[in-house]
Amino acid sequence: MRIGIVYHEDFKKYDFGPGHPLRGIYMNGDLAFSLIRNNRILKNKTGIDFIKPSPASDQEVLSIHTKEYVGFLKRLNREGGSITPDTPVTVGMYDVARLFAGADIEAATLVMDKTVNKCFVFGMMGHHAGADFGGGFCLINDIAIMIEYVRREYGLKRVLVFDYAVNAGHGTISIFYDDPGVLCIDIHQDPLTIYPGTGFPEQVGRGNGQGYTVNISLPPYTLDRHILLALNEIVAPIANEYKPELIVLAGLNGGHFTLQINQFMQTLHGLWEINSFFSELSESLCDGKLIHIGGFSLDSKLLPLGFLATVSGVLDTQVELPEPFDMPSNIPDVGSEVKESIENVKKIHRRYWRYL
Amino acid sequence: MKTAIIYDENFRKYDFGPNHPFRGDRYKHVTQVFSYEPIAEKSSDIFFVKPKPAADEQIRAVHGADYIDFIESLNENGGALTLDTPIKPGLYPVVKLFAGANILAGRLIAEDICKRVVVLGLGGHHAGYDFGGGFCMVNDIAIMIEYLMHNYDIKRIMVIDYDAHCGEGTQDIFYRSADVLCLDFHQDPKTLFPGKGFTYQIGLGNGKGYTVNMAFPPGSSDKDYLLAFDEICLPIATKFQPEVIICNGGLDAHFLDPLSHLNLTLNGYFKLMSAISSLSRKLCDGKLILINGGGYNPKVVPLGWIAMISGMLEIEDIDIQEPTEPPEYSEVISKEVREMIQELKMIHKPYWEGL
Repeated sequence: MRIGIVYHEDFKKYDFGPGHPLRGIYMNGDLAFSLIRNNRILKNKTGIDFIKPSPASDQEVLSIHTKEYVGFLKRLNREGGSITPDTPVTVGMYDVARLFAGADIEAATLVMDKTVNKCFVFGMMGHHAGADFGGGFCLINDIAIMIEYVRREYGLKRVLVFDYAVNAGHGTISIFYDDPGVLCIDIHQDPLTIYPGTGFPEQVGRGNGQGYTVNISLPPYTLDRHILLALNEIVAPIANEYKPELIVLAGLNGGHFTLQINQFMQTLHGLWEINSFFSELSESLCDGKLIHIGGFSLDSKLLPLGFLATVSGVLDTQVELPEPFDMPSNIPDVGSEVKESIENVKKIHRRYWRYL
Repeated sequence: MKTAIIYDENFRKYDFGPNHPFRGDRYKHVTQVFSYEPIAEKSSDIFFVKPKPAADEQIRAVHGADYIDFIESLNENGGALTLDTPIKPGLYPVVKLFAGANILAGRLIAEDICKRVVVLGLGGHHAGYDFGGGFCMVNDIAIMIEYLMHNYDIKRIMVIDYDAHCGEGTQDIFYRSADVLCLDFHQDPKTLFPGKGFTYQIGLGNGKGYTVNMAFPPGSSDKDYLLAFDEICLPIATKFQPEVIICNGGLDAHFLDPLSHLNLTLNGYFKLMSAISSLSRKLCDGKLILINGGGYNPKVVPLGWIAMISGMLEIEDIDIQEPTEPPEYSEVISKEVREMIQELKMIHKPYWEGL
C-alpha cells in the first residue's frame, strides 16, 4: 500500500485575517504529518509520498467557472475586496485557491495512474463556490475543477462525491446539478439551522441529473452513530447501484463536538468511521480509487488528530485517537428525528434508486 | 387601449401572521387605488377580472416533482420553507390562485383581448426550480412564462424585476435559457437578501447574457435607476426584441421601506413605469404585464400602486404626496452607480451589440 499526501507551504497564505474563523495556521500540516509519519501501525501498513502541487491553469479553472466570475476574482486578486461579507479576499488569494485546485488534480492523477492507492490533499475544499458565485470562505471550486479534469483526461463516466462537511456543499451540487455523471451525496446539518440555507432533501437534481444529488440533512446534535446509520441506509444502496469509477471524499473534522461553529456532535472516531466506510466501498466498487480533499481543521488542537483519524480511516486501520476533551453528557437525544430524516430521504429517492 | 386588472379577495389570505412583514391586509387598498382621480377618469378603459387557480400540471411545468411533494405536505401539516417563510396549512391554494392570476394575464394578452394587464398579486420571484423562501412558495411569474411559451407562439419574453431584492428564483429557472431575458434592478446583494444577483452573474450555457443583474448600492435614487434603465435596459431590450414585457414590480426600493435601503420615491416609480410603458409600445405593440411585488411599508403600498399603475396607464403626471420628505440625492452614491453601470456594460458587451 502507498498513499500520497499533497501539500504546499503556500496553502498557509489562505488566511482571512484576524477575527475570521479560517486562518492560515489551520493550513499548517507539520504536526499532522509528523503524527502520521511516526505512527508505527500506519508505518507497517503503508508507504507515504509527499507531493508538492503546482497551481491549476486558467483553462482548468474556466472549465468550471465563467470568465465573468473569474474576471471578478482576478480583480480581487490584484486589488483585494470581498465576494460576500464572510469571504473577504486579500491580494494574491486567488493564486492560492488555484494551488488548491492544482493539488486536487495532482491527487487525482496519482490515484488514476496507480502511482499511489489513495491520495489526500491537505488543504481547502471550495465546495461553496459555484460556476459564477463564491462565498462561505470559497473562491473557486477546486473539487469540481478536479472532477472535470479526470473526466476529460481519463474518460470517467461516473464519479461519486461524498461531502461530509457540516454545511451543504451547494457550490459543487449546483455545478453538477443536471449531470448524472457526478453523483453528489451531501450529509450536513439541516439548512434551516445553518449556512448556506440550501441542501434540502427534496433538492434532488434537475433534468438528466434528477436523483444524482442526494441531500441528507440531519438535525443539530447529530452523533456519530446517526451518521453511520445514514451511510448504511442511504449511501451504501445508492453507491452500490451507481457503481462509481472514482470516489471523492470532501470533508474535515468540522462536526467535532468541541467546535462552536455548528451543532454536530461527532468524535474523532466518528470521523474515522466515515472514512473507513468509504475505503471499503471503494475497494468493492472501484478498485480502491479514492481521493480525500479537505482534512484541515478550524481548531489547532484538533487539526493533527483529525487528519490522523482521516488517514487511518481511509486505510481502514485502527489507531489510537485520544479525544482532547470529554464529550458533554447532557446532549438532547435526536435519534427519532434522525430516523425520520433518513426515512424521508429514502422515500424521496426511491423514485430514482432501486435498492433503497 | 384597454387595461385589465386581475384581483381576487382571496389574495388577502396570503398572510404570514403578526410581526411578519408580509400581511394579507396589503390588498385592502384596491378601492383607494382605483378611486385616485386620474386613474378613475380612465375607468372606461379599465376592466376587472377574477382569476382561477393554476392547475397542478402548470406548476409542475416549472418546479421539481419532489419540491412540489414537499410543499403539498407543508400545506397539509404546516411548517416552514425557510425561517422567513413559515407555511400554515391552506396557504398553497392561495399561491395557486396567484399563479392562476398570472396565467390569466398572459392569456388575455396572447389572445389579443387587451394589451395591458395589472395583477394585484404576488410575484413569487424568490422561488426557484426546487426551492422557496423570501415569502415565496412557487414562482408564479415563471409559471406564466412557461404557460405562454408552451401554449402560444411566443418565443421571447422579457422580465423587468425592480423589486429591491434580486429575483434569484426567476433567474434560477431561466438561467440557461436564451428565450427569457431577465433584467433585474436590486440592492447590492452583499448588503441584502438573497445574497445573489451580482453583476458578473449573467446566465449559463445558452442563457449567457440573458440575465442582467443591476446591483445598486444602498442609497441609490430615482435618477440612478432611470440612468441604468436608459444605459442598460434600452439597448439590450431593443436588441432582444421581446414579444411581451413582464414587470415584477416591488415597492421595497422606496426610501421608507423597512426591509431595504434604497431611496426611490413614488415619482421615481411613476417615471420608471412610464418609461417601461413607452418601451413596450416601441418594441412589442404595447404588450405589458405588471405584477405587484414586495413593499413593506403599509403607507407606501397604496401610493406606490397608484404611481405604478398611473405610469402604466400613461397618465401624464401624478401629484401624490410622499408620506415624508425624500432624502437628498447623493453624488457619492451616484458615482458608484455609474461605475456599476460601466462595469455591467463591459461584462455584457460580448453578448449585446451596441451596448
